[in-house]
Amino acid sequence: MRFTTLSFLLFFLAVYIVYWTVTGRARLIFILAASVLFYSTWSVGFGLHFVFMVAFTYAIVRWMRITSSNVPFYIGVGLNLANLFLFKYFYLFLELLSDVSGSSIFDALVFNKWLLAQTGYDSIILPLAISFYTFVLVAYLIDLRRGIIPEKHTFLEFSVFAMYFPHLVAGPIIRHSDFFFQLKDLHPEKQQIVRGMFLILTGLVKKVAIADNMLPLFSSIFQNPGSFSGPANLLGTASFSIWVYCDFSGYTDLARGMSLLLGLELPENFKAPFLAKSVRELWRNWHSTLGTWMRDYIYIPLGGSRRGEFRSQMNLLATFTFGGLWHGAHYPYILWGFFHGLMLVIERYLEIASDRLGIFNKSKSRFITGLSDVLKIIVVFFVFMIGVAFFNAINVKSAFVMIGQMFTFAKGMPAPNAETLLLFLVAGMLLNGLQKVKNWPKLSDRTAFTLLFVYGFVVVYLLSKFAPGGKDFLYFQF
Amino acid sequence: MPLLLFAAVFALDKLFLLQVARDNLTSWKKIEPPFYASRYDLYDLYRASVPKHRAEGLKVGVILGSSRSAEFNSDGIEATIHRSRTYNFSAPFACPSYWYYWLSRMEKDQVLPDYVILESDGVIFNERAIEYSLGYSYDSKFVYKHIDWNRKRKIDPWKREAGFSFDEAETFFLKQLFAMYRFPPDPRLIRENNETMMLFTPGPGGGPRMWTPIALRNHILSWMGRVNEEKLGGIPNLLSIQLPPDKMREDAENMAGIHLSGYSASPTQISFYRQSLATLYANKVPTVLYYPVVSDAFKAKQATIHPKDWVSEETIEAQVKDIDPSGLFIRLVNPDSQLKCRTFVDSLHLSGSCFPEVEKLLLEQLQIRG
Repeated sequence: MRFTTLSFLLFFLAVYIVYWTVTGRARLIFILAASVLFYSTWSVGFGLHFVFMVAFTYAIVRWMRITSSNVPFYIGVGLNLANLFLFKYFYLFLELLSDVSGSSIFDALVFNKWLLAQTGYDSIILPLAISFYTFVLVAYLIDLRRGIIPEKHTFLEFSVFAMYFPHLVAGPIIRHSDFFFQLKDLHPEKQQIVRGMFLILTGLVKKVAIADNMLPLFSSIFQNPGSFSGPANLLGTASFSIWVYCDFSGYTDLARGMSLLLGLELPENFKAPFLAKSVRELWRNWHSTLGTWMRDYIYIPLGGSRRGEFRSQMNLLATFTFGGLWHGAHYPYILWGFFHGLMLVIERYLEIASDRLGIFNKSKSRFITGLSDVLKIIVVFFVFMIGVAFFNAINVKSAFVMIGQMFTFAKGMPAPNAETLLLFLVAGMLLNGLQKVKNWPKLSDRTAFTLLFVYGFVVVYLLSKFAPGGKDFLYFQF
Repeated sequence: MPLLLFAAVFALDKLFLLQVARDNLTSWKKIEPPFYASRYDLYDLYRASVPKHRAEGLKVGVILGSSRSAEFNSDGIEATIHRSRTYNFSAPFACPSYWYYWLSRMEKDQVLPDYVILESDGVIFNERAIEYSLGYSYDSKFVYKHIDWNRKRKIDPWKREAGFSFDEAETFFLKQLFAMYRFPPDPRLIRENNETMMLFTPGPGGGPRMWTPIALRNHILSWMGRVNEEKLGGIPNLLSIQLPPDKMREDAENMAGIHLSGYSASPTQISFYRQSLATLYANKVPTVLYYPVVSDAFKAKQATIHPKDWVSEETIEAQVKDIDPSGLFIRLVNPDSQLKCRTFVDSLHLSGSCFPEVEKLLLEQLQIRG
């Protein structure tokens, strides 16, 4: 069920009413049942598979609590990662074996034929949300082993944590410290409800009115970048950047908004990322929960910044390359991750160099500081655009062709729908800027209702005018 | 508060169903909504008239098509099928799901016709073909009954009875629930809709006239009512209008953008098409499948679609053979090679002056009983 469909609207209305009608433990049971139902509308079989993974991981948790051995930990993490690997990276592994050995046994088509003959399925299907829930479960096991989860959680609480439907499919990736304490005292709070509704409405605008309409307008550029001019390729990557922001942060807004209506605060995943003045700041504000996950469970275990500057940067590079691989078994994703890691490394060494050489003296006029900030924002956005050329490329060669066209301002076809795309870019940037607003004003009930009513009506009007056929969220595929 | 807010916005949305709101806030050029609405009046007339026609010994026919079949003329058809009345349920951008809707109602009301002309070519099977009918036709019961709960992409849709996809059904119900989604309002149109200007009035005695778009639209609505009664839904136009060649190429480009861009054969339309043929065959209703004649410019655009995606004449022919192996009741007729009249209003629409010839070529194939 996509969040932007009628069936989900009816589902959530029903969930909201029943959720606040029941109390105590019954509320948790209900939200768990609703989450299982939500997942099972995609596939009952994989719903059972997901329940099994959660139950298995909880059994490991119980085992870890009664033994000092590392065996349950390794089994738990191992099985979760094996589960992810099997469904997500199997074909990449097969392709590598095929490339290395040259043998047709490892050909994906041959394997799929065999699979069809044995099981009736013609390929391995990627279970919905597997990347996200695997990270949630693995993080819990690692934190438990580190001794930072002193309280014992019931199976019910653990299952709600893992399967909670608003965040399940595309994040934010939640940690135990974000979630469990809130379960102890669930009650509706007016400010939360107002913020929640505002987020839901904004999420709908980002996803339906902007993202769903933008996608068909620039897709052709990525299909054949060599045919399009340099400026067209620039517009294509800029458009994709805004599109993925509106799609993903729109989804996050919906997830967080619904969660607030259910009395639960999920962590923010996007904080005006395109106003970042450095690549480091960009990654603190773009898909933040994935960033902190990679920091805590990959970068720090690799040694973090404890083993000298060079090792620290290599750890960063490895972490981001892994981040690319997380997105999928596709060489352009890996290159995308590596590229961003490389940008972070270069940025770090440029900072060190400028500090040592005393370049960019800190005592500047406000005008120079302001101009410098604007330039930094533009440069960081441009770095993001280059990354996009990898991320959305159909293959590696196509990515380099696109980057080549961008840098050489090559001749070619102009961008289709350029004016419309520019309008969407402006709208997307404004919504991005809106995320800089930190403090919600305290509003009276009547003012809040009136403002939300007007905003709600405007959103319904925008959706009626601009809603194309519903499209999946990009991050559903991960 | 969220429930109250939702209820308040939902209630306000209903104001946009009011005729005054639709008159002022939607484009007067959008004639599809009233056209589709007029088909319900036509059906009421049809259902009431069929017993009377039969009592008078008249044969009753039905035409199911898009705007390319709108100009079939009951009077013209009577020249070939003597003592007949032919009701034309064609509508702009109509598609097999829409035609099956009417057929299923006729079957349920026991007023199936004595013969049918059913439009059949690749254009009607495009995924996008359903857009207009989802907004302006069907009823909730029909859509709910025909939801394909188990659509599997890998199964050949020609081999499986299906229905509307879940997404299509949701779009329908959303349009039923939210007036603004069904009739998107545009405040900028208030002035345009109420501005007196020179507008062309269709129909007999029509022509240029100074009046407001709202008045023109109301006139078109009442004209459609008369068309239903006098011409049984058809809009025959015997004027010979030919688009110049350079404009034809440009028009073909536009029409291809509307009807062929992102072409993908819809399992929904395939399924309803098969169900229509099956219903007609089961009830032994002589049926001509009319393969519409289009301009060479549009044919060139059709040829750019990958053969694997396009629903070809051969594919349709194979379905006909599958459903009616004897060939006695259902025949696919492509009059293109025999048609002498070659004037086109636009790249997709044959001129009305050619329809008498088309009618003759099609109706020769019908084996009408009794």
